[in-house]
Amino acid sequence: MTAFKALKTNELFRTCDPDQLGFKSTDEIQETVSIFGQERASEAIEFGMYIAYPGYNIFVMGPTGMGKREIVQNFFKEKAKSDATPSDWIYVNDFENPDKPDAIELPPGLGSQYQQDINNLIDEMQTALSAAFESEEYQNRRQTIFESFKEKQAELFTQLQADANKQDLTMIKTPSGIAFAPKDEEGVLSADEVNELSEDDREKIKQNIEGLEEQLQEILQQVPLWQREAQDEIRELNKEMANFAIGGLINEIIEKYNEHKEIIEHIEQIQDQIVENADAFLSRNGGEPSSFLEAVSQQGSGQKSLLNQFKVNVIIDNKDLQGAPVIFENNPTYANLIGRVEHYAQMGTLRTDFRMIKPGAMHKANGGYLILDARKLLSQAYSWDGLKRALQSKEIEIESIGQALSLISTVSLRPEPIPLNLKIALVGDRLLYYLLLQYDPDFSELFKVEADFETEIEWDHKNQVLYAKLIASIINKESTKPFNNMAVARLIEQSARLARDSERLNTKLQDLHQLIVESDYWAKKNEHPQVTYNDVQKAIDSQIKRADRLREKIQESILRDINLISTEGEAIGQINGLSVYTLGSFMFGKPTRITSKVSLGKGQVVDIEREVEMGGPIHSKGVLILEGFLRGRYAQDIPLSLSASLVFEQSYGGVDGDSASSTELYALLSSIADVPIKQSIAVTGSINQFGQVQAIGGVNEKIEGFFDICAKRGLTGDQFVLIPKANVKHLMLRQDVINAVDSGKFHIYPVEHVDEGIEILTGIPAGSKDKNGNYPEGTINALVKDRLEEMANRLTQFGKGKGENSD
Amino acid sequence: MTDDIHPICVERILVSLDSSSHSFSALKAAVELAHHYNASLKGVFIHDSKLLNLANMPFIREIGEYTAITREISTDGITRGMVVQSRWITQTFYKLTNQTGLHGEFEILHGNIHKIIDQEADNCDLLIIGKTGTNPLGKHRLGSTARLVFKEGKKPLLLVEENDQLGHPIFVLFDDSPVGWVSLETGRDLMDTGENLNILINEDSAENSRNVQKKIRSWAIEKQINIAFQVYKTDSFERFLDKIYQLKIGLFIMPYLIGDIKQSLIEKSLNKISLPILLIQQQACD
Repeated sequence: MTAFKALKTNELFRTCDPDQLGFKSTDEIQETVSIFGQERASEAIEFGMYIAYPGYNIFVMGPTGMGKREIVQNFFKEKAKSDATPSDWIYVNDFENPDKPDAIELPPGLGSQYQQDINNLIDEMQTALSAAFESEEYQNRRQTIFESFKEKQAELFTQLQADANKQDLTMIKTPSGIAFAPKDEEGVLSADEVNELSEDDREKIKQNIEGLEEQLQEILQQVPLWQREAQDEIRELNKEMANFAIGGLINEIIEKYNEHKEIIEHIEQIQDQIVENADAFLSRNGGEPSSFLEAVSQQGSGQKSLLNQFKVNVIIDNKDLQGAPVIFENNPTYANLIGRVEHYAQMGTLRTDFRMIKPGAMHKANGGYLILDARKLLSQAYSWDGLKRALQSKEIEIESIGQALSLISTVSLRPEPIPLNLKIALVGDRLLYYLLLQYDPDFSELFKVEADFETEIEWDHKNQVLYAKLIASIINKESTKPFNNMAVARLIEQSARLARDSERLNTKLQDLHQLIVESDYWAKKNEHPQVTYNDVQKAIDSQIKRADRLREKIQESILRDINLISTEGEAIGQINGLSVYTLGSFMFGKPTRITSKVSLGKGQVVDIEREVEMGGPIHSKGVLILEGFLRGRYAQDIPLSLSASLVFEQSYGGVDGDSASSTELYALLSSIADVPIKQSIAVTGSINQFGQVQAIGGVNEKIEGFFDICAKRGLTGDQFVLIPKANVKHLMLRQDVINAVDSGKFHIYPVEHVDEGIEILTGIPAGSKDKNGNYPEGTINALVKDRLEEMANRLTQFGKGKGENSD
Repeated sequence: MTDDIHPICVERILVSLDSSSHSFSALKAAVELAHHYNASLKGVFIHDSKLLNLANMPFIREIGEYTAITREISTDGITRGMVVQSRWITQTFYKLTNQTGLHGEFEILHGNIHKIIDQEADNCDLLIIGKTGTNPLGKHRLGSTARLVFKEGKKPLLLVEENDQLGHPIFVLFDDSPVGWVSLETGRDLMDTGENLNILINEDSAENSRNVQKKIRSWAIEKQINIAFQVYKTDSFERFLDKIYQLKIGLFIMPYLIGDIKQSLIEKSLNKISLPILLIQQQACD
């Protein structure tokens, strides 16, 4: 029998030498490292940042906790420093179309300056206009116009009254008009007095009144014309005064902004509006109502609302910005992204104007960089559609969701769209990226750059030093206690454990960050001046302890023989497999009994898990490969005339993965050959059709899962685990396992082929084929082959017997 | 010399209101004077019986003031119109008095406007009305009611035009008669400390003018007030009126004088001056 070599302790764990780190404490490290080992992603981000073509936005992908957002943000910030500061944007009222405010682009800093200039203009304008309209000149000229109008009116009324007097009639004001009534020297005649008059007199009075009424109507029809004339004259006067009063102020601004055509147009519109609405600036007796009707209806001056229309809404002010903006929108709702038009309540109704336009993240990032969390973006209603629409149209058009979907038809603002020029980085996991790629035809047009983050990097000396610096950077950023070099070494070792590879380091910064912070907690609790190896170990142990309730329950179930696992003795067709459970970020292994039974049949291996639909496709694949191996090795000359069944005993939650395919094969070989398997051994590894044992995942957890059961029952020195040889490089085992191996109480054997495994498990040589195709007698392969031949013969005989009988 | 002459004593003010803007200014002036004199204020609105009478005449129609459309007049229509007016006016009266913390009384009466004002004036010390009412003839001429009340001359009368505001400067048209001196004292009573009282003297004789000025100076010294006076001959009085006709804030006080020349001065003043005009009658001296 071949002598197999168990793994030595140095093969079970890769130690990080603290002395090779080059420092005693992280205090000594000044250099800041935020990213390394991500050359592919870095190059992609740089490419995406610098390429100036549409659609070259970046999807930064990788598992959560990689620090992707921070990394891309740092890239953008660095690039943004050398970028030009983008323009300011302001919204102003469009006086011809107030529901379509105008957007004006201005050099950075000029937006707020223009706003201030307009505010100053409004202040000064009020004073200047008030002074102009309260001047003696204005009052005299205005009064003259009024007087002239009133005199014209009074003259005609006086004439009318005189005519009425001649006919013994008088003019009387009724609540809603004017009437004529007969009078005598004592005043208006009463109805009785009129009725006492002769028919002729009454007829005469009636005719006279009708004549006067006609005259009055003619006069009254003239009044509006004169009134209009008077108003026109006053308007002209107002224009003249207003132009004189504010012309200088307006010219100052025009001169200042003469390079900005749109500003000139806006200021000229303001000037026109002031002149047109000069009435609004006239003194209103301190705002008190000037008539009964006004007093009751409480109509106020329109001056304030007019002045509000002149104001400037600076939606993007880059005055204090150096370079381009880098914006991360943590809550990418539709409105937070695209901007919104807010409303204010007035007299029970909602009103709005251009001053209520609020920018979104796309406005703020315009000319720079915008970072969004893909998952959050996609989970917000219509945000993704809004983002795509803006990127496709290359402009930001503020409209509510209701407007965008044509759900509401109430009049609201439609601000002029603003041209869009920015680089977007969507940060998300790979699944989202591929789903978008698959199902959204626009996605590949708009996000042409994928920046894929590595989850692990090679553990070599160079990376080890950089990793230590990364640790120091996090420590510095979080202001934790300094870590000594042994603590840092332990962090690096744990990183390899998390990477599940002794030659790789984990790049999920979230895990590292969490461990650093928790180690600091334990150091503080233990009043250590620095974080030590033990503090880090305590943090690791505590993390496991917080998460391992289920593992403890499962192990308890095995130790109480509720879940049957043997760790000693021998059994035919029964073997200890190893499976892994993942609960969030916590993984643990557990031994599982796998059994096999054979009988005569048509060459089928029945996977009971698959039959009851508790086995996943990969597991089924493993069983079919196993079947292929059997056929290939033993059924070249004879039909495979068995029916075998395989089952994971006491498994109720379903099985997937092919890591137990070698284990199942061993159980099957044991059943066929009728040779017992040592129960002190647990096995893991997948196989191919040639019987080669292949690497599996979770090797550390699987070994530790079996070790824990053995340790609790008592280590005998005969207990061990068979693992694929390809998994040796993944070993980063717990210290207690290493100690047991070191003291010879536990062993780990790497195997490359099932022949090695069956030999270890049964203590019987597997046996190699000789030139005649026969296996040496007494070997496992010979026993299996003999049994299969016997079964084939029996099946043949059974068939013949049946045939004879039937004949 | 003037120890036995006092300014008018005002304890009760009556303001007669209609729906005109002159009337609204009159109400504001009434509220202000009620505070000054710490007097009670009563407002009245009179439903004109003359208007109700119109509805009973077979051939009387009204013409819309703005529309120029001829309509039949009905008692209901006139009544409803007057009720609407009275509601506005009542609301405004209470709004203005309440705003200033004044406890005012308001009454809606029915009948001949002039007669009712005349009756109500018996129970007040100062009567305030708009210079003209809703008369379509013109805005600045003295209205018929104002003219009748003015002619009656029972009580001090304040005539207020639209947009007028009581205030400063205060002008007193002086006449060396008891009522003239009451007017002067009233002006002094209403002026602020340190302010000038502007006294106008209409005197054609130079000697008389000197005498009057002398008297006034002595009075001013005695009362320790600042005065500024200007003497006008009757034929040049209008020049003065031309100078102040645009003033809308202030007060013009004048005695109700008897005599053709004096009457003519008053008429000119009433027609030319836009300021609130306070007319003080002989009875005020009693």
